[in-house]
Amino acid sequence: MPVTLTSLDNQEFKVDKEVAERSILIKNMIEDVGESDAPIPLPNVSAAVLTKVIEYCEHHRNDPVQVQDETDDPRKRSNDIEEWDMKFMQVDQEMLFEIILAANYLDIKPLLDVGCKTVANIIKGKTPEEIRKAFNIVNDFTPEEEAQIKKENEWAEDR
Amino acid sequence: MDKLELPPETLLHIGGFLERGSLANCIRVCKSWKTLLTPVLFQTIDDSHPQPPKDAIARHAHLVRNLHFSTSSRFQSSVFAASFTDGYSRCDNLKELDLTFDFQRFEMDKDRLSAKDLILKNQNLQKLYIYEQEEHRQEHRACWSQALARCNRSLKVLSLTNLWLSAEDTLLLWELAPSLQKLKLETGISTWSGSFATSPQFPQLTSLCFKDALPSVEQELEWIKQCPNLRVLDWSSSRNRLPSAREAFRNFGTYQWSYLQNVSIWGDTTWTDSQVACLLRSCGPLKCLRVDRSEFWYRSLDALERHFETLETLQLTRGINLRGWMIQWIMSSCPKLKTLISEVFPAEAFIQCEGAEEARRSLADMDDESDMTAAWQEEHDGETDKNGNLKTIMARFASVRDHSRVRPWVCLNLERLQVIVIIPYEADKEWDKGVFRQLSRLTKLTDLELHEEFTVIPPDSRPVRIDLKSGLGQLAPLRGLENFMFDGSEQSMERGDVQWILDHWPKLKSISSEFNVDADIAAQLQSLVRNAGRDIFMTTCFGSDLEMDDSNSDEGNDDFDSDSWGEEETS
Repeated sequence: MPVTLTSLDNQEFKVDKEVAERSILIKNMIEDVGESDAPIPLPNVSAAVLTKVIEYCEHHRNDPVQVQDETDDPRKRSNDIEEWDMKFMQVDQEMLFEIILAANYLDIKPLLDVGCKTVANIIKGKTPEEIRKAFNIVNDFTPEEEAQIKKENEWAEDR
Repeated sequence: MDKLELPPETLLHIGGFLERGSLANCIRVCKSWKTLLTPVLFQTIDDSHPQPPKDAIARHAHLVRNLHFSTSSRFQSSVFAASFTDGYSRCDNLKELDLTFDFQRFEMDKDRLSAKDLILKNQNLQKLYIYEQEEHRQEHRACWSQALARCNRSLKVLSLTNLWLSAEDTLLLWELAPSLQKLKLETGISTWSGSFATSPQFPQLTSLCFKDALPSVEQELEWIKQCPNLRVLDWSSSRNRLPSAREAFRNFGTYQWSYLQNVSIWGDTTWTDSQVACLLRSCGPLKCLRVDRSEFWYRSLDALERHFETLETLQLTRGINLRGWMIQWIMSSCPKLKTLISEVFPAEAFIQCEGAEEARRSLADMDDESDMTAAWQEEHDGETDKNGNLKTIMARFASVRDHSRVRPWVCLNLERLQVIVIIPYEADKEWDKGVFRQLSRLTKLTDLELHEEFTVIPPDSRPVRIDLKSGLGQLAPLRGLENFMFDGSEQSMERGDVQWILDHWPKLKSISSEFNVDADIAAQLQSLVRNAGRDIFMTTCFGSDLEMDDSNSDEGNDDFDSDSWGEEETS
């Protein structure tokens, strides 16, 4: 049975229930409301982003549900993105951030993970200045503060 | 472009995927990143070098959640000992504490006491790993038992290696048992020979590793029965323990572990065919089965059939009575198989070729079981027939035996194959070609090991010949091969053969073999590899350091400490 989703800019998307329920938010909404033809409004997600999110959910519709294991290794890796996801994430940075925000809002954990891993991979190997440049961040440290922090964290730096 | 900011919780999530070097850089980006990510940097501290300076440890000790110091560390002990006593002993928010490092290299008593204090101080601990030096286990018994007695009662993971626990200390486990999800006990309980009136209940336990854990294997089984949610079982027992599994489980009844999907039986437990079968009938659909040094015969194969659809890893080593056609039957029945480690491999499966008729007959003789059957029937008469009548099962497989020789393999996704191919000594090259032809279908292979092991192979057989004349060229489809190992003093590989390997396997990272017996030619081959500009690790083993026995037992030992601990999640 298809479900209708309405984006921020009032575009309607018809998707299979199974696909829509990759989003825990939508899954819970459907459970709460029960069988209904009424469209589900997603006021935080634009049509462009929703199109991408649906593409992801379509591709992963048959994935087993992730079980949160509290005994998992806390040190997570970012080099285990599968090929399709890697290609899927080849978008401009604004879209990348939008997808992450949407995944967060819609509660799609695997998509959130892939997005965050992609950002982590962008950060890796960059100097602080390069990171600022990449993400358009203003340096609000004084030169003295910066020197101090560099000294404090020297032990952790890659060598 | 508008500046798009990620919310703090998302930045934290990203920080979780960064290693410490990148985190250190991120902290220098801006004030808000520093505030958010400093706790992530100190969240997990392991023994990588260099360590944070002492004052930084002291200041951030409360941020540390996971403290890992393991035996594998090459980290300088003196530096660590200092930061441990003065710095890390202040940690009071720990979730994980891994103290499997080698205490002997430190000022022992002082550090052991701080380790104990650390356990007492961290009442929210969820994972605890302790390792004790074998020669000091007795003198430090009290220290560890005090620590365990006051350890967090909602502990999820507990791993104890070489602790000298008395029966009384062991009773502590009854209190810890209800919350445990993973438990490893290795040479844990002292030589005390009594038995416990009851077994602790492990309602949540999903992963269990026993290595000479309890005074008897019977008791170990009783404990395992208290784990209804078990997913991973790694069980080994050494030779000197009595009674052996064979006697202890004479009446091993049926019990259900519906979720069990990963089973390893190691060591010298030598389960009988009937007991292995019984275990296989008690498990949920298995993904991984490793049986080392136990019998694997008709009953086990019969019971294994129910797992054919799900099996991904299968290891049957030093197996008594394992037959080549059984392996062939498995390879033609298990579509998901990715790893196969075995000692016998059915050359007869390969020989759909002319001129091999005579050899085929001699192989059939080798496989003849009729003389054994009577003896076995006798020995096993005492056992209940809950696994079905042996004669009936054998009769059923009689047709399978012949049929299996012509069935095509379905495990075409195999990535790792480690076997001994048995070929009659006098067999001609058509046999080798048949072997290569069959192997060439396994295009996903990354690891291929072809062994020779004369304790298993009848002396009138030989390993497959690895050279172009014998058909090596047929292995060209194995484009993804990364590691190739073969042994056997019969090998007389030449330049052309090595050149062919270099040309056809672009991903190859290592070749190991007993190349010839002539060291000169071996050196020539090595220089050939070097000159090709390839970074291939090439070894020639003239000795026996690459024997299968060693690699097997190592694997078993590693399993529990490392990431593969919860194999059910990753596979």
